[in-house]
Amino acid sequence: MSGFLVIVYWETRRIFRNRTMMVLGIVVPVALSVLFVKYGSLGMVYAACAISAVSLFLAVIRFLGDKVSGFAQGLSGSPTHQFAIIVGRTASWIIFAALQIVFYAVISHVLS
Amino acid sequence: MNSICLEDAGRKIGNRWAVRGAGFEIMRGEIFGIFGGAGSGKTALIELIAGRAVPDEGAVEFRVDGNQGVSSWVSLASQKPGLASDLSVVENLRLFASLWGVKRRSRQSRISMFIQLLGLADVRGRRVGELSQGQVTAAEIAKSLIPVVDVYAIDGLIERLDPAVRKRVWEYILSRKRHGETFIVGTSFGREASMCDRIAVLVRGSVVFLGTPNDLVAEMNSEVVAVESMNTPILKSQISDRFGSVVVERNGMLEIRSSDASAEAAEILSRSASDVSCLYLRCPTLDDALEELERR
Repeated sequence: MSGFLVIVYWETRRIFRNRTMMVLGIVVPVALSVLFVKYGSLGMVYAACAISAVSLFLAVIRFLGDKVSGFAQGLSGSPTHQFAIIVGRTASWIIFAALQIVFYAVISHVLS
Repeated sequence: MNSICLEDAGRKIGNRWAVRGAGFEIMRGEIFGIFGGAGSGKTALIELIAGRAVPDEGAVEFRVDGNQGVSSWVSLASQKPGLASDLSVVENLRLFASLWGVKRRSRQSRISMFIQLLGLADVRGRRVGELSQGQVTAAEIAKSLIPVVDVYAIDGLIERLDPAVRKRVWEYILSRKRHGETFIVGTSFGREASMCDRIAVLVRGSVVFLGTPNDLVAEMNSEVVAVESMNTPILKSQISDRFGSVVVERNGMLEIRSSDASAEAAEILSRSASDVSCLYLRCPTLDDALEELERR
C-alpha cells in the first residue's frame, strides 16, 4: 500500500512538473470551456469526455516514453509490486484528468 | 544472502543468445567484476543476476544459509538510467528511497551522503533532464546505492565518472565490502576490473575465464614489447614479417606480446635499431589479456 501511495504522489508530482502537461492541462480546459459553455450541462459531459480522452492520450505517450527512457525499468526494478506501480501511475492520471474537469467546471461557471 | 549461484544461465535477446552457459557463484561480501568488450553480453548477464530478466535456460539462485531474514533484491545502476527526467536529482533519490523502503529517519542522511559522494551537490535541485551525461551517470549510481540491500550491481558506469568521483566511489565500495555487502561491477576497462576480487571474462556471450585479476594476467604467461618509432608503418611490417607475431598499434606505439619478450626486443634492436626511437618491456594488463581472449 505504501508503494502505491509513493507512486501516486510522485507520478502526480511529475505530471505537474512537466511543462507540456501543464500547458495542456490549462489550455484544454479553457478551450473546452469557451466551446462548450453555451451547451449548458450537456457541454459539461462532452467536455469531461474530451478532457479524459486527452489525458488518456497523454498518459499513453508518457508511459511509452518512460519505457524507452528506462524510468519504467527503474520503477520495476524496485521491490514495489508491479500491480501497485501500474495502478498508482494510472491513478495519478485520473487525478490529473479530474483536476482538469474541475478547472473546466469553474471556468465555465464563471463564463456563464 | 550467502551467495548468488548461476547454473548454466543463458539469455536470448531476439533470436540470438546474448549470454549462454554462465555458471559461477558470487559470494557474500565480494566485489565481482563482469569484464568484457562491447557486445560481449555483460548487460544481459547483469540483468539476469539483478532479476530484471528471466533466464531462457539454466537458473540464477540466491542461496541463504539459515533464516537470516535477508532479501534477494539487487539494486541495479543501469546504462539506461531509470530516472525521471522531470524531477530533480534530490526528488529522484527521495522517490527511489521511498520505493525501496529506506527508513524515514535515515533517508535524508543517505541522500545527502550519496549526493556528496557522487559530486552532485551543485545540481541537487536541477531536473535530471537538464543534466549533462556525466551527471546523469552519477545520479544513476547514487540512485542505485540509496537502498539498503545486500547486493548492488553497477553496469559499466563507474568508468564514466570524473577521476575524483570515481576514486571516492571505489573507496565507498571497498568500505561497504567489509560490512558484507556484495558489489557486481560490469566493465570493459581493465582499470575497473583490477579493483575486483574476482572477475568473469565474457567473450561473445560465454564466460571464458573466472578467477582473480592477477590470475588472468599470470595466465597470459607473456610480456609485452612496446616500440615507438618515427616510421611506424614500415617498422610494423618489418616486425610482422620477421616474427610472424600479431603487432598491435596502440597510442602511437607498436606492441608485441611474447613469451620471450627479451629475445624479441634484442632482435628488433639488432635489425631495426635506426627505426626505433624508444623500446621497453612491460607486464601485460587486463586490457591486453581481454584482447588476447577475444582473439582466441
